[in-house]
Amino acid sequence: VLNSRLSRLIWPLLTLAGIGLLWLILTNADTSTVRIIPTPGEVWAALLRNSQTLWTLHIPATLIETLIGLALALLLGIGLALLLDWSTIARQALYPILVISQTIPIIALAPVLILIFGFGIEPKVTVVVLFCVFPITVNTLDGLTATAPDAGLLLQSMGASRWQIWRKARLPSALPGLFSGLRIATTYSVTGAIFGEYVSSNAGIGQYMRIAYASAHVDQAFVAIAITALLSIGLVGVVAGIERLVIPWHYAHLRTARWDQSAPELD
Amino acid sequence: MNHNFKRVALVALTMTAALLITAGQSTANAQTAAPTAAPTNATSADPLGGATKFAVADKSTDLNLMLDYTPNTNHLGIYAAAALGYYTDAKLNVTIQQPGDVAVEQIVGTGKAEFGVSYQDQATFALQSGQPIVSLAAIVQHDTSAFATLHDKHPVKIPADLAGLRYGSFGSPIEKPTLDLLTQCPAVGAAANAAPIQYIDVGSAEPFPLMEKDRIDVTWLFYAWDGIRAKQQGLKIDFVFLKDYQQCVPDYYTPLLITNADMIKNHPDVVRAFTQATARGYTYAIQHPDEAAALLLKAVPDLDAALVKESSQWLAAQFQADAPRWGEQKASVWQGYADWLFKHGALDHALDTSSVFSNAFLPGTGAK
Repeated sequence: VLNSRLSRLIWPLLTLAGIGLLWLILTNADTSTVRIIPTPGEVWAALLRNSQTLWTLHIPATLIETLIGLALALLLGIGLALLLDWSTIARQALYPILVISQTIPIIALAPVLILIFGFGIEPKVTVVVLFCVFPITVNTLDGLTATAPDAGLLLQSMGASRWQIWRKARLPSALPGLFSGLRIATTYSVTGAIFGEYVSSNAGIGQYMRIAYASAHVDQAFVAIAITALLSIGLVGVVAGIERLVIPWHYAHLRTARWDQSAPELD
Repeated sequence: MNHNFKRVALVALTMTAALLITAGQSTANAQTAAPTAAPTNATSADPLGGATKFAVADKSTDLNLMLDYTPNTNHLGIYAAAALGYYTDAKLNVTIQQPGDVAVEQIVGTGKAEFGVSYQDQATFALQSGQPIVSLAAIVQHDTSAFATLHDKHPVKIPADLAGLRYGSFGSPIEKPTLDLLTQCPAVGAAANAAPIQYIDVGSAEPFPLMEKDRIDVTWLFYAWDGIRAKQQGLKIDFVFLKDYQQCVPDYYTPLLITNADMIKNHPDVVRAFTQATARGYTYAIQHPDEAAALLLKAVPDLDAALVKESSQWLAAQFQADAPRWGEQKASVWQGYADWLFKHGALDHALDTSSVFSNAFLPGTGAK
């Protein structure tokens, strides 16, 4: 057990160290006067230099857009999955549109979003929702349809109503799918908000990044990338934590499987 | 001991004196540096055209001003007007909106933003496609763009030197006519059969690393921002300024303050109040470039302070330049550029530009 914990710590650290090494090599290879790859030290300095606006202005703005967008996407995603699961007609009518929604370039959408919503938080939240609804809907729908048919038949034979079957069998079996969809959506959500800020914005990581590129401050651009990554990892961590609380049986199942696998070795 | 103390004291005294002298000298240098930095074509004409009273909106009005790009020194007067309360004086509550991947002309043309910052070339194309925009003021009187090369790789003095080079294109329809006519400009002795420019699409990629790595040779930039920035980063650059070759490529306004026809028709009081308050802001930027730079940096702290300061000093003399007042636009510049675009195939049809700009809202008009 100790061994496996150690390896779970060591491998990510080694990967990070490898990426860091690659970064240093690239930094050294970039001999131009106007650099396109900053050194880790320059990025750190830029982070300190801009920490005031980052903490008070940009990170809160992006985080709020992300969280509102993600919450709406969760509601909408579950709602859509239920609708598509319930009605074959709805599935035939809406599923293609759901796929198409993933192919629209934000550049084409930007002016439309401003014309509909103006300059507030709404266009950014809309982009987050567009990014996040699809994985939630598709994974939840997969979970719903993957319910063991026998479970439904058994409950039916015991005189359960459609609603009872749904609540006792389909919903629990859909939850792991819902959560894996939510985890994927959360990974995209911060990037979605930043894309949204590229439509038009006066604050946020995306706006900070645009200013960085407009004055060729690659160090600041890398700060924005690092913050985006950290925010995404943090949010995914929170979702994974909630997942463990809500569907512990799913994890108990996984743990048992793992234990079963390693059991022979313990002998 | 005593001897030692004397020596120490002497050294300390000498050092203090030296420091004082150096400090005095550097102050003196700073004082003399300011007039040198100020460009030569500054005029004594009042940027406000002698106006001392400025229009006020009929009632308190909320409005949006959409910038053309991330905040930069072209916007000094706008941020100054906001910070110094000139908009408030005019009963305007102005929100400065930064654009992303949108055309300002579209947002202003449809009225989602009441005012915007645009360019004469983009405004002309928007006009051709039927966007009802109207230009209220030339923010910078003459085009300040330049073609730039790295001096050590491709030294250029006159446009003909650009012939045969690889140009990093960002995809505007005016790039080809501008470069073709500039490099073949007979007024500066270019051969008519000069080697053609090669166009390489670089999108929004940073041009200088591409130039240092020999992917492209020449880029087109605004001197006041990217030109000064490149110099500050230690690059040795040759510039060919477009405004020096107006015989071949006509002068045009970059950037402009725009509104839409609906605002002019239904809320002329707001348009007038906004234009005049903005003119006051640019007057401040012309007369107090360092203070205006500080106001911009205070509003947008993520900007590069050194770049903003030097750029503000350079632009101070460019905003009004030789115009009788800040913002003044000439019919000949508007029509001349539209005709030129049409002649070289960048416009589908000839345009009458007489209604696309107006000087009628500048200071000195209609103040109560």
